[in-house]
Amino acid sequence: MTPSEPEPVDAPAQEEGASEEEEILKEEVRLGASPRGTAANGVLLALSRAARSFLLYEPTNEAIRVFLENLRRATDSFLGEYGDLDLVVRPFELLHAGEVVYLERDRERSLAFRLYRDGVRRLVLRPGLTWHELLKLLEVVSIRYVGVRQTEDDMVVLLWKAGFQNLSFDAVEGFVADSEDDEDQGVAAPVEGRAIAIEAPPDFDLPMPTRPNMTRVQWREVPQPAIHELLAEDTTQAVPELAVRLCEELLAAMADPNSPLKFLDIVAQLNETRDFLFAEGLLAHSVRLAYATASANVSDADSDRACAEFLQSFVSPTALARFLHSVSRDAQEAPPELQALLESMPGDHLRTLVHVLDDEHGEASRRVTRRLIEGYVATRGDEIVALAATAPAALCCELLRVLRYADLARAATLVPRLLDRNELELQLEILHTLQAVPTGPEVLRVLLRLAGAENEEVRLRAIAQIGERNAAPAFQPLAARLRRDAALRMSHAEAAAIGEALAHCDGNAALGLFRDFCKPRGLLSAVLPGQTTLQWAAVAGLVLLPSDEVEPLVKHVHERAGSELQAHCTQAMVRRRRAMRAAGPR
Amino acid sequence: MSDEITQGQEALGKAIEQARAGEDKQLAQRVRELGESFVRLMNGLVRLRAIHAPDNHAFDEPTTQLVTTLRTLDRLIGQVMIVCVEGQVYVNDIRVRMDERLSGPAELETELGRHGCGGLSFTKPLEDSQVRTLSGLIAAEAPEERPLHALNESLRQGGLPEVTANGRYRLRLTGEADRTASQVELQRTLQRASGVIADAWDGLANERVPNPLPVRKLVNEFIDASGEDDLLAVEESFTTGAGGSAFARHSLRTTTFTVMIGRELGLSAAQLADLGVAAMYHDCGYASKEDGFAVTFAHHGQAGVRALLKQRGFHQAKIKRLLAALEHHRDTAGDHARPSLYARIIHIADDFDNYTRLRPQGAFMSPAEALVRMASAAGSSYDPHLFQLFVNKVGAFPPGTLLRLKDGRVVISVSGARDPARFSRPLCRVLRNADGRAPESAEMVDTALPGVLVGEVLLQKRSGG
Repeated sequence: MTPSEPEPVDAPAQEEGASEEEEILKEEVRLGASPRGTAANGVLLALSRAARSFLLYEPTNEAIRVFLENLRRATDSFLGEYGDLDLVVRPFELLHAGEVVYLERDRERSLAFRLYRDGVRRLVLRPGLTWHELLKLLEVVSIRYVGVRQTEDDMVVLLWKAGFQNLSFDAVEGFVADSEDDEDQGVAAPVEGRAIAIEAPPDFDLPMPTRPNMTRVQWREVPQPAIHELLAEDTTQAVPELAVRLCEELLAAMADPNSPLKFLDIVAQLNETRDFLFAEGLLAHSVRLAYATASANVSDADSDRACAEFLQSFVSPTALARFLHSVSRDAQEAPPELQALLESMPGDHLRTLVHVLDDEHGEASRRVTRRLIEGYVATRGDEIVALAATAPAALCCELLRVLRYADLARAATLVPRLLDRNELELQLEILHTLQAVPTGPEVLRVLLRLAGAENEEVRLRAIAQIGERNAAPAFQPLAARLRRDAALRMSHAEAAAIGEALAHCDGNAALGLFRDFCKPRGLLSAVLPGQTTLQWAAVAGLVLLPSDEVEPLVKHVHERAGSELQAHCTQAMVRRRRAMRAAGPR
Repeated sequence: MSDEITQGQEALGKAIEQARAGEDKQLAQRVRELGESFVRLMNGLVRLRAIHAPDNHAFDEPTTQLVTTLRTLDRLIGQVMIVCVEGQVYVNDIRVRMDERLSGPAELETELGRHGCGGLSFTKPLEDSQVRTLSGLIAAEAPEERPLHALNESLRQGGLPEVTANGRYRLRLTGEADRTASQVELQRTLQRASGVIADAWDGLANERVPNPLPVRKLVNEFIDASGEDDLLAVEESFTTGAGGSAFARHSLRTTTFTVMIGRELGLSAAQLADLGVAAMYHDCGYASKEDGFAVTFAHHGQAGVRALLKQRGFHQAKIKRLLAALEHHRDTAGDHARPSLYARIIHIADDFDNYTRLRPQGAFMSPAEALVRMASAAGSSYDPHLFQLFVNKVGAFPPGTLLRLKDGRVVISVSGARDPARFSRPLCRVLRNADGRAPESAEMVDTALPGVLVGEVLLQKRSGG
């Protein structure tokens, strides 16, 4: 038996060395003496690998997708070409048409062993096998691979429950005596008829309700809508409602002081139900469960503690994260149930929400979390500012955004405290925040500081904001900066931005400054490094000014400039003329 | 295709997460560990017997450990059944994982196999001296003739009535049973059922963690073995007192009718299985005690739930089972939440059995009378549609109804409603001819035939049951 098939194209590459991932995903021996056997082997390796991958990856991981695609491809190919995949299951092998098509002796990895151990002795996949059925098979196998030994269902029960149309199996039904001779059995095996040692009271289920009346019975068809309604009560969709109802019933039963049920008897069920509801993102049901528990009659100290702990779990970071994951993509507000939950459950939810905001990646969930935190700004704004000031950049940005929406003035107080931080996203967020803040000395100070930031995008935006504010006090600092940095590899974009900002801040001063840049006095000035940059800035700013000097100055530069600066002059003049035409005659 | 892959991925992730939520890993893991310990210790003790005299101190430590192991297993899962089959060891339903480098299942299987034995059952934990005796008996030479019988005799004479040596087992495959002999299959299933119920009830009474898997497997077999007519045809067997105690018969009979209603409703096999298990457990509260006294009717639902809640893990079947235990006596209409579907189905089956089953003083009423009296409460006590499904299946003269035909013969209904036209024309077995004598051989009469007319319904008055 020699490997004969090339690696599946999309399989993650395997390297030397034994990382956990590689160990788990390492393929079993490739087998197949015949093309049919090889193809069968391919299907089984794909199935085994896909099932084992759940040990490593989250179900939503892209790697799982690759394994699913491989499995589907291999299975469809085999069934399409060869028909039934009829497998005999042995402890470590699977046989097809007498040929060993799967072999793995490591019990932890072996698909054959998993099947055999759970009682499956034969498995037949037929050509009509649908994708849904194949997934179902994978689900059953995967559940056993991740080590779930369910007291409700083993693999045989799971396969039986799946109700396959195009897959059949033979499985052990239990132990039976090997010998037919009763004498050799000694006493009867314990599984045969044995009396209950524990007997119910003789009057169990009594008294029965008296039924004094009689109604004649006859055959009558039950209407189909009624049948459908009844069947709908037993679907998977009905489970959340049933689960919460059960908890409500259990909690209500505790109200009877003579009830055998105590809170500690039911708390495990409450926890499991809560976890189920969280996993399903069923916020309304979760809140209902919380309310029912909060209203329960809990009598002793231990139960009280357990109850408080249970209720607290509804507002834990994990719980809130679950709820937030369930909001729709375009949700702008938190669902009313979540708000009500936060209002009614004790605890410091602000810190929890900040914690969640720090962890969340989804846009909708972050947005909703911010909205929730906004509700705390009025009463705990200072605390939020303090949290933001020391938070990592991403979280700080989020909190700044919260403050911006809820209390702009408070957001403005935070900004100066963040000036020493160099994170790009934070600086951009600060600029975004400042856009809404009225101009003032502090704002200008911040903008001018950011106009000198390390990142050019930050500088450009800061300069643009300065210009938009027509801030005359900023003229001199900005002009000084231009003169200083023009010789230091300032980009043309930045030069233009400064030129425009200067024009906006103080048109008259700008005209004088630009005149000097365009017609520098002294031969030396004309050849100093940075002169081109200065002229670039000047041209950009000049075309915004209403003076008649503009065109001659630009023309002067154009006649003496290199091709790049010439093009800039031309484009600037075109823009000016368009703007003037749009403004209409004076 | 990519959409299907993505959907498949999401569905798989959800299924695995749900499966994990339904897991009680601690119990299974503990049982496995203890099972491995048992195998290892027993092998060790048997080997020691080949080397040392039974009073040698070398036996002390492993004996003590084995005593502790059995005691712990008993506390966790009740009666312990060790089965060696095909190179594997099972402790009740849980396969023991053994490190192949250590003394393993094969060795134990070999030692037991010399006695024709495939496993051991322990109804109670053992004492120190008993463990020493047991290991000695296993290590001893086995006679050639009837070795298993000899071993069991030795166990009884050696002061080990708690231990039974069972014959060799093999794993039976689906499809082996002759499906044309479904009646026999169903009878065997029913006979086995009382043992399964006994184990389950014993566990609950001793406050152990419920293990529904054996009950589920039984119900699965029951569903597979029973068909449209088998289910009612073996109703008679309940009247003869077969299948254990009155309580066991009640559980089984209720389950029979419950599954029948579920089938009529159109539940899938998987849903029928969940429903059947719920029916099996519906009165399990009576296995408990309240302050040493039997649980009252008023509290048996909650007592049952309390016992069942010991099973950990979120599973929809468990939810439905718990609701059924709580609500199965609740009226379908009233100023409370409508009981769950399973509870409403079991309510009908449960009441029908309670009205009609044989008691020392006789049944309360005939099945036919129970039906018409219950019919008056359809809509108030009983879900009207579910009750109608039940009526449509059992007919005007449900199986077990004693009838006197117009020609004087006394017959018992065995078929229920075979179809709408024969709703009140069941197939019957003749109990007494017109002259009052029992027929010489089994004789059936079809009341649907012309000239065969039902005269009156009789009430059974038998003793026993």
